Amino acid sequence: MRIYYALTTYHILCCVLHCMTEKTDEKSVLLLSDIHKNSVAFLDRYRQSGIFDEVYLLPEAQITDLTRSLERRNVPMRLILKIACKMMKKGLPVPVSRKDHLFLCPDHFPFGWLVVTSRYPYVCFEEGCGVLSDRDFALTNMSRNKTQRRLYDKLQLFGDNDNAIAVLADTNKQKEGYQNPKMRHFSVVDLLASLPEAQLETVLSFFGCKKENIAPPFGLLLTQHLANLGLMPLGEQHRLYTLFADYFLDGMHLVIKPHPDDIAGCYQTVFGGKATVLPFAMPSELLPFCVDGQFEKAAAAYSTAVRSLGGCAKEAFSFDERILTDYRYLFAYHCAGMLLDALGIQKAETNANELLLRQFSKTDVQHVEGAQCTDGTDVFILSDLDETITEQTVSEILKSGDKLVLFLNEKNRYLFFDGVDYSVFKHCRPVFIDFSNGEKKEIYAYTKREDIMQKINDIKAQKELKYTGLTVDLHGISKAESEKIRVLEGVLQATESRLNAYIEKAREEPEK
Amino acid sequence: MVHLSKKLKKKFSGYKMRLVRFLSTSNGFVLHAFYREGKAEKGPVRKVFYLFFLWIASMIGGGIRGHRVSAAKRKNYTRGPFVDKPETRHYKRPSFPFLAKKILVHDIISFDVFDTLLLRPFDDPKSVFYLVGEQLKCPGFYRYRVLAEKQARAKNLAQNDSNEVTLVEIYEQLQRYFIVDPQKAARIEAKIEWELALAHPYVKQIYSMAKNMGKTVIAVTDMYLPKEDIEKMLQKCGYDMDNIFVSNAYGISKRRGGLYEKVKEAYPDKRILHIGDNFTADVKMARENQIEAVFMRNVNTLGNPHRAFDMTALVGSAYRGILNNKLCSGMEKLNQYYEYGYSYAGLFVLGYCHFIHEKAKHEKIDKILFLSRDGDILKQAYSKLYPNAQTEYVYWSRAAATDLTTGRFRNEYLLRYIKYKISRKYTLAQILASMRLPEMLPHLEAAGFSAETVVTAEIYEELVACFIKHWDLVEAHCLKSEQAAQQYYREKIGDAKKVCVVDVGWAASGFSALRYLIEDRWQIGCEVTGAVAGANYLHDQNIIEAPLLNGKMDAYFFSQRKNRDLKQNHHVGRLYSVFIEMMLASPTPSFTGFSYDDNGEVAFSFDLPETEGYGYIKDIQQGILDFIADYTKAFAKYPYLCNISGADAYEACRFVIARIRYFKRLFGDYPVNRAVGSNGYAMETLKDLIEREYAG
Repeated sequence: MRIYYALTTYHILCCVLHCMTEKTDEKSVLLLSDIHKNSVAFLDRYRQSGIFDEVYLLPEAQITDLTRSLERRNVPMRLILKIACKMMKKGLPVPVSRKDHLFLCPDHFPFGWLVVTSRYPYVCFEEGCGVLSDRDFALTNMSRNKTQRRLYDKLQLFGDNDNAIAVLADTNKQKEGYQNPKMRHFSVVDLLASLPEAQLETVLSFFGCKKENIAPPFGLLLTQHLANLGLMPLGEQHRLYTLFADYFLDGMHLVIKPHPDDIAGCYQTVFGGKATVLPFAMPSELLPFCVDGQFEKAAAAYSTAVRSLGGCAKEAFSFDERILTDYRYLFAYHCAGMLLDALGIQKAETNANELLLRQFSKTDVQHVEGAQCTDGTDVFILSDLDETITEQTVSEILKSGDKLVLFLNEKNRYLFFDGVDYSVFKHCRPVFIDFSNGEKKEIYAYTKREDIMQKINDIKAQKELKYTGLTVDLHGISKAESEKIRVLEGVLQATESRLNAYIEKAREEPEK
Repeated sequence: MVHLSKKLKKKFSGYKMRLVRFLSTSNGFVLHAFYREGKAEKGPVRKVFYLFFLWIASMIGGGIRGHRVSAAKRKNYTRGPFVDKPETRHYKRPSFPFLAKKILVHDIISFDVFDTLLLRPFDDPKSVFYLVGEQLKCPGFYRYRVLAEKQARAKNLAQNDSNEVTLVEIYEQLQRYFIVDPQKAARIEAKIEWELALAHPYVKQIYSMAKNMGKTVIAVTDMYLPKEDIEKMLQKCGYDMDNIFVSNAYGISKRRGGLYEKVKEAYPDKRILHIGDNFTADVKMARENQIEAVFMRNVNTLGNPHRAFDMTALVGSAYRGILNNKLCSGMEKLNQYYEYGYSYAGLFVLGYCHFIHEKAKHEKIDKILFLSRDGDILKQAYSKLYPNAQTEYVYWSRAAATDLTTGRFRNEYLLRYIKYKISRKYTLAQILASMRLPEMLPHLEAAGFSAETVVTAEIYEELVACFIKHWDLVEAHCLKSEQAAQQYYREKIGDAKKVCVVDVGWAASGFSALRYLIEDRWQIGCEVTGAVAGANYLHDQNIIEAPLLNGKMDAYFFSQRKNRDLKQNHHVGRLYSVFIEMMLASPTPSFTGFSYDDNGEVAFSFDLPETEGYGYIKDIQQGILDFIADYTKAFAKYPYLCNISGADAYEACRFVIARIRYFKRLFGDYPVNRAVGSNGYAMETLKDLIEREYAG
């Protein structure tokens, strides 16, 4: 009997492809861990697919719960392992013996512990594509579960122990020079590409997806389970992706592929049925087979998945963890990007998110730490999210040469004014960003060049955010704002008076 | 000896007041009962005894006759607003990822309907009966409807062993009290329920998750409304249910478990998850029927213990309902300043704007001038409520008014610049600097004073005489400023023939000064009327009696002739006015005067900005605007619910302004410029101010 064990959607895909491509007369059994809720939910579909003769759920969730509780009570590791294996053995839906051919994907969960401690020979799949040679990320994740991490060392998991007769891994995705005598080539992408049409259909239906009939151009949005990871509330997560779609995938049919753990995301509702939402329980490796042709663009917040899309998208991009904060200011980046292009700027430096600026503009934007722009830089885009940057450091930049500085002004810190030098106002021009819900924001441009100032004054654009349900109007200063400006001048004078009062008070009360 | 006796008396009086304050403010039940029922108690000794009696009563659980309150009500009086953290962070609901995992492993997702899928904009579902009664033109309908339902259920229980009834059966029973076509009346009630139904934002998200996962979504409810009406209400709120099980259709309920059996019959061998707000009916009975259940606590059960109750039945219920729906749904995590604006200032601003609008309509006012700074949020709210109305936000302040009206209100000028500075021991040089009137110094010196003379009460009248003698200097000094003001106001008033000047209160000095300037001095040809939230002048109670009588001026909360009990209990000394003004605060500095800039354009000058508080203010303003949007949206078909009485609005404010701990915690570091209007610098925090005022 061939027994496959799988945990995540990717692991299930590995087992499916292995079972389909390496045919034998043996009975095939798929054991799924109930830790992965998708397996519980889609068990019936997996059974009905006919790929495996039998499909069962393993009661691993209660075992991992128990091991955590024992761990909290400082029960010795040896005992925890013994109890877990006993429970696992008791909960097996089919008898497992040395005679069976075992394929574990992966081996660091309770069923794997049982197999290794029972000294059953097995074939191990690598945890993720390329993980065999680069385990750091996987081990960092694993370290949240102390028992699991310690058992990884003790039992030499990931196929390092003597019971593992082979490790199936994508040899092309391993680190250069990596050697492992047990490693055998197993590439999900290659296998999928070589599958006959009928078998491919079977795989697609196994994961609940089908070939979508969408007319090009279409763009792909890969989501992550940010709410599930506690990185932001669900509402924010929805907002992030609607903004992403509006700003980066505008003008093309939107295809959304939720992360397999992004169960809570309600993209069908949030995008008002205007997007094609693929099943979350579908591995992203199947994406190229769901549409006819290439995606114009593929975007992700900060997922690495976008990089493994291969030739499935003409352009693929994602950001880094800064996006979790910066997405709130996409309007400012969009406005700055538009200004850079309108002014024909070729090169610029920034302390803001250069990856975002590059998406919004053709300008070659380089990142610098703080506000330390290199000599000879004519254009600088400044973010005030960095608390270390003060009005004084900005004042230095403004004084050094004839620079164009764009202030994204995310936190309304108005860093261009240091409270002393009023002359900056002569060279400052706001660009107003008016939202249709009444919200108003502005970014500022500082330049001594009259022609640039005039171009900034004349700027006018509108951006429809169809998924967010807003319209954004960008415009330079107009005559209608003249009373507002005079009021602001009065407020500014009052602010100065207060600052002077502070200075006066400090003078009167010398250091105590 | 006499001096000692006076001193002791003063000390004793201080202790007495502290005891009264301790007894009244340390316990919410006492505070409310004392305020509501103890208003006639006059003498201080009786007051103390009465308070003590109330305090004991509250200690033993309201067990004394006359002050017995139900457990639920008592709760209302024993909890105040949330002080330590925002209310929205107090309520824990199952997280979306947790629920998503639950939904994923079930085939059928079942929801309770009322207070789960749907919310009403009332804290009590029975409040709907007021609206039904109004449409049926039946006084006392509320009581009849409650009795009829009770009797219909009892009758059905006796006849069919089921207390489930239909709406028509209830109205048939109602014939005992009021003759009406049961079918027609039932249709009216169902229509009103449909009009008021709102989606529970948190549950709607859960529903969306279930739909997005392709689950079968059903509704199961114990309700007298027909299935078709419930379906329509659900559709209106964006729910598309696969099936609806209504108790009155089967004569069995969730509460007794029978309805769950029906559900299981309809979906055999399916894994069912039920979500509801009633622990017995939705959780206990579901589990007894082998259905997994998630308890979604009722928003009104959570919120009501923290709400004001001494309000009119309909507006009170609507106010609490809107607050509970927003703050207890679990959908949003808000900050305390936003919640302050939403919970307490929102009703005030909405009611006041409606009051101004009615006045404008009634008096055929062409334009409404909202005075800075309190008028900022009022103008924003008013423009949203009545977008076609002619309104302007105009710069104004008492400081500016003092300078602009030197041609008439001489005493205001002398009081503001000289008399009120006596306690601060200002020199004449300082006073002339704040007046920006150095040219007066030679005349003062000629009268025997010097720049270093400290102003005292003894020399006040002599100084006044000197200023009056040279009043032409004062007027000439203010002339430029007045010309700029005139230009500004002419532009703002435009061709309006009648304007209403709106301010928060309390002495209506803005109205008085502007009326003089616009009608007499500048002769713009425009009549000026005024509105204030409350008329309560600290020094002279009768300052605006005549304008209040002749209709030139109106007060919303209270005045000498309106809601006098509120006025009497509006403790200026306990900073109630300050706290109410804080509700209308604007994130801009105080305006001080007009002038001309180099280009000959009108320029504006401001006092020192209290920038530290501007972040809070923006949140408060957003809270106010959101409350108004939610309230008016919920009652779009019933605009008369915006006719909020001053007493109701004040009660919502009083619920919080009487709690000093709340303000200390929230606004303790809020900057207050003590030298406002003098371009001086004397910043302190609200905490300092509270401690100083309350220590007295």
